Amino acid sequence: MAHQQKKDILAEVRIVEEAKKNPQRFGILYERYYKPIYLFIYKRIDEEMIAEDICAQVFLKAMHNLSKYTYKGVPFSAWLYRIALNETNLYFRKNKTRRAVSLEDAGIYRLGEEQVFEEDEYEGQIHQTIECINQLAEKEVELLELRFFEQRSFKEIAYLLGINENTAKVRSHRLIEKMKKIIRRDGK
Amino acid sequence: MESKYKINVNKPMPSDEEINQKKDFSRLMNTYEEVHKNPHKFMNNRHKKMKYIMAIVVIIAVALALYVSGS
Repeated sequence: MAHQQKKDILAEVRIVEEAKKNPQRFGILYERYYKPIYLFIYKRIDEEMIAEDICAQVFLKAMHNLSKYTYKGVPFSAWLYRIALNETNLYFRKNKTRRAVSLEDAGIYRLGEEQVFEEDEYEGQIHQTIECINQLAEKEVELLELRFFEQRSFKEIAYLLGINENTAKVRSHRLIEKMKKIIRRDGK
Repeated sequence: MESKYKINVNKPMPSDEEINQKKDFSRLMNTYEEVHKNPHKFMNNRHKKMKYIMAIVVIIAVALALYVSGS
């Protein structure tokens, strides 16, 4: 995920303020964030039509609640991702469908840097990651995605999950330790 | 046993073109204006439930008041 410069964040806050008075101005934010928000949802849902519906719902909610958005150090995009995460979780709760997890090479590499794997080969690492994920709770998988597969900062993760930054760091550390334990145990 | 999650490895994402086809700001604006004009029509389930609960509470309170005043 590209990290925004402070001046870009503040320029965006100005657009948000304009959009509060004139909803047509929201179009700029819609154009800017439709793709990343859609992909964020799609990776978790794995159904194009459903991801499209949820994405529409996210932007509608964002427009409707725009007056509640105030800049508190996190970019507007984080606010949108938070709505997207809530809407996606709401979908899973209502429909009791299996959640999707998208693994990409860069994320596997980052897990490797944390010495999670017993295997040196890529195929083995993929296999261990899959085995491991199937033994994790949804909240843990959520954190794994945000931190290692989407490379979000602890500050943003904390905001998205409604926890403080330290808690996000501690949970991430515990998650890595848990993954190591699962892999060591299953490897025996 | 079916795995707990549907895990995709390096699955290609929809292309920019496919995503752009889904984008429709005019439709979003229309829905927004409709919701803005008639918010009660788009009340979510939680609000609807709350409305029913409040109605039941009021009915019980009135019934209790009538019962107490009668006895």
